[in-house]
Amino acid sequence: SKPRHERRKKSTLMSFNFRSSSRRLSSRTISSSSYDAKVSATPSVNEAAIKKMFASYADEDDEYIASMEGIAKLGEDIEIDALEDVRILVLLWKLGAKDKPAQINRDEWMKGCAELQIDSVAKLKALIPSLDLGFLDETAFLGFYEFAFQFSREGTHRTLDKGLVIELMKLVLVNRIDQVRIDSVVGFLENQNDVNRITLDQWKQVFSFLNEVQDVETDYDEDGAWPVLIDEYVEYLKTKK
Amino acid sequence: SLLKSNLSMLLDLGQSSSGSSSNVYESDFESVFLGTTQEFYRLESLEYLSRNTASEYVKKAENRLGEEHRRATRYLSPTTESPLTAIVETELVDRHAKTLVEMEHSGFAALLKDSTHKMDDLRRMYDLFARVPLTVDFLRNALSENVKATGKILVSDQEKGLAEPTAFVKGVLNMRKKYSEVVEGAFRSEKRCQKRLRESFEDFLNADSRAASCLAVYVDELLRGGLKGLSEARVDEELNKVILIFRYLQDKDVFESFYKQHLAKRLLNQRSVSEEAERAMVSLLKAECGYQFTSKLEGMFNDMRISRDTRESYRNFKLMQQQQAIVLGESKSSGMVDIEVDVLTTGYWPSQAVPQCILPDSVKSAIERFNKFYLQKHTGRKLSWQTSTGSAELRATFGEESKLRRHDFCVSTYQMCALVLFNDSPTKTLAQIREATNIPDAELRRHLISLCTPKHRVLRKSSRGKIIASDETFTFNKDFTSKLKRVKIPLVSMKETQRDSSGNLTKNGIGSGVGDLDNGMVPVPASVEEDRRHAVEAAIVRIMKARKSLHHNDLIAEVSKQLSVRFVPPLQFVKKRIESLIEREYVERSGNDRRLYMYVA
Repeated sequence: SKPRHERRKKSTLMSFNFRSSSRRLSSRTISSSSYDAKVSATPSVNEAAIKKMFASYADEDDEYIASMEGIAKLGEDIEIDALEDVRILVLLWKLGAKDKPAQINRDEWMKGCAELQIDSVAKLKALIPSLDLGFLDETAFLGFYEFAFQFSREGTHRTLDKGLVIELMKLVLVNRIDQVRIDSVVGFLENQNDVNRITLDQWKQVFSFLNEVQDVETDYDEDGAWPVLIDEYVEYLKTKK
Repeated sequence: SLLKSNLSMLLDLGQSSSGSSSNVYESDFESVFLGTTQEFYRLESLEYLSRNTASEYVKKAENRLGEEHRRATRYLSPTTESPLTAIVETELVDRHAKTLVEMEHSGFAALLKDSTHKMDDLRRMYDLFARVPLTVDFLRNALSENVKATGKILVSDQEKGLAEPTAFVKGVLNMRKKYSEVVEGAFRSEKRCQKRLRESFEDFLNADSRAASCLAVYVDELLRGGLKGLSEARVDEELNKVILIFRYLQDKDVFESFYKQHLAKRLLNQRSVSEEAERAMVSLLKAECGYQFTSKLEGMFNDMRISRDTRESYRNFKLMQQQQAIVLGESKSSGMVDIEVDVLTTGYWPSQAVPQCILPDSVKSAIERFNKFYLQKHTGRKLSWQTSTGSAELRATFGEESKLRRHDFCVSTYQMCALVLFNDSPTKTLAQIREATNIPDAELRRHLISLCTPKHRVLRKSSRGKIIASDETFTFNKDFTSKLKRVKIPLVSMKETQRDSSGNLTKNGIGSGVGDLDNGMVPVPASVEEDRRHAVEAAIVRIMKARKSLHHNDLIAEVSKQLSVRFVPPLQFVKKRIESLIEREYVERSGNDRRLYMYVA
């Protein structure tokens, strides 16, 4: 069976996901607030080529799925570090990987590549500049942001490990939110010894908070239905002053 | 009189001139008059204050107001009276309201302390202040402060262990009596003041779970014997007093939890002063909080009743078996232990969850016999034996061969298990006993220590003093003596067993049995916390299912309202439950508005 990938490091979105792909894990479907391009397959895209590409990334035991091994290889092919570079995540999101975390299946790949007009590694490489997060408008980014959480889950788990959330946050929020503020939230989370897992709702609301509340004295509403974690963050900020 | 005719002259003058806003009376007389009056009273009030007690001042003020009124009706135009009164009231009352309340020894606050004797003074002050309604707030505040301060002392006495829990309750009852009289006698039963009084009591009684705990102990003492010999009417009176305080409690479920624990002990050890009194208390609680609140308690009573019947049938069953054995010529072994069993429905009774200890063989077989009997009648049920409770009668023999002494001991189940071990060897270590019986360490120590006390030294322990060392050895005390043939061994309290090597109570020992935290606060018991989680979640789901979508604040309000009969959930507690339900997809946030929740079908 497959050798497990060696590298386990802190920054990884993906490393913990390396596992034998013969196990079909069931999880709930990733909700679809992802990027929706209205495209129909144009004749200029070579379906057979797309299929061949997928085959080179698909799992040994299951040709329908490309899990993290394959995705790492994809990264190599387009010269992006799959473990460090957020653009791989953006790519997977644009391709429409949503059925299960840490993988993309053939149907998704076929559809996604057709929509993005990709049928070769070269075209994939050419796509890279457009994968920059800065290009996403608010709505699109929200979709990606939720995808990032969902895709990073382990199997059927619904929550993410706090450490992973911290790394993910740093990766996806950079340049969109003030670094100082990101660091502040990270510092708070690291401090919270009784918090080990983060839920999707908390993940989403942190971003809402960073967007809506610039000054806790004036913009923060105690009755604002913020998750308790956010209330605690506000407390933390107030005591730091 | 002369003055009157002069003034009416001015008035007439004024009325004849047309259109002008201020007439002669007002401009030439009234304004000057009012001005000088104001000056006069400003000075006089200060003078009065410096020389008189508050009560004397009040009397003087009353007099002045009376005089002005008489003068006004006699001499002045009717229109003058109200501004005149207003000025006098402002100068005499409004300006000095705070001082009058706070004056040392004679101010309202001071008088409150001696309210039984000073009621007239208090009322007089209220009547005076009532003329300037806003000033009555000072009086209400003083009342509130007084109540809270007195309450704080009662609480602090409990925290420091200076008083018994029942003293707390009696103290609160006395306070209630005293301050109700004040509200009635001084504040003329004013509604606002009644509300304020209630809030002040609720304030110090709900700081933590201590009041609930003390109240439960108080009721326990009443129902164990405090009510003995009292007429039905008196019993009702006493129990109703309990309800008076119960009403102030926000966390009624905490009280219920404590109450249930005490009730369980009373029922199982047959300690109730009377069944009627027990049921009367439950009825009162039901009337306050509804059927839901007391259904488990009533279940407990039911269990006891059914238990009695079961015991009866088991006794008959055993008799029958014995007779059969005689007929068949079998000799039933005389080593058989006789047991009396109470069968309780889990769920009604306070949960124990202590695994069964290792029982002596003879007891085990007796239990097996009962199991067979019971499960035959009630197939599908499961019996779990609560060895942490129960008692046993043991016969022990002391002394020398020539002069043996026999005593019967009434001991706990755990003690029985431990003592029986000494049949094979007169000396056992703590570790050996623990291994052979599987009794949890803390309880084991408590039950063993109770067998080593000076008065009931059935066992000798190796170390001196009150604590049990980890390498302690116990020896059967064959020199034990007692005047009584049948000796009941009392259990020392858990508190007593928690002493350090110098005999001082450890931190765990100092708290009451309710489990105080470091800051002196009595926390909500864990089982109650868990029940609350379920209750809040059920309420949220129920409400969301009915309303389909609901704004955050409205949901919180609705949940709190529905639960208020039992307890007041802290805001963060409800929020956490909402989040949990979001995570489990019972509820979701509306896409556009974070504060709007939608029910997920």
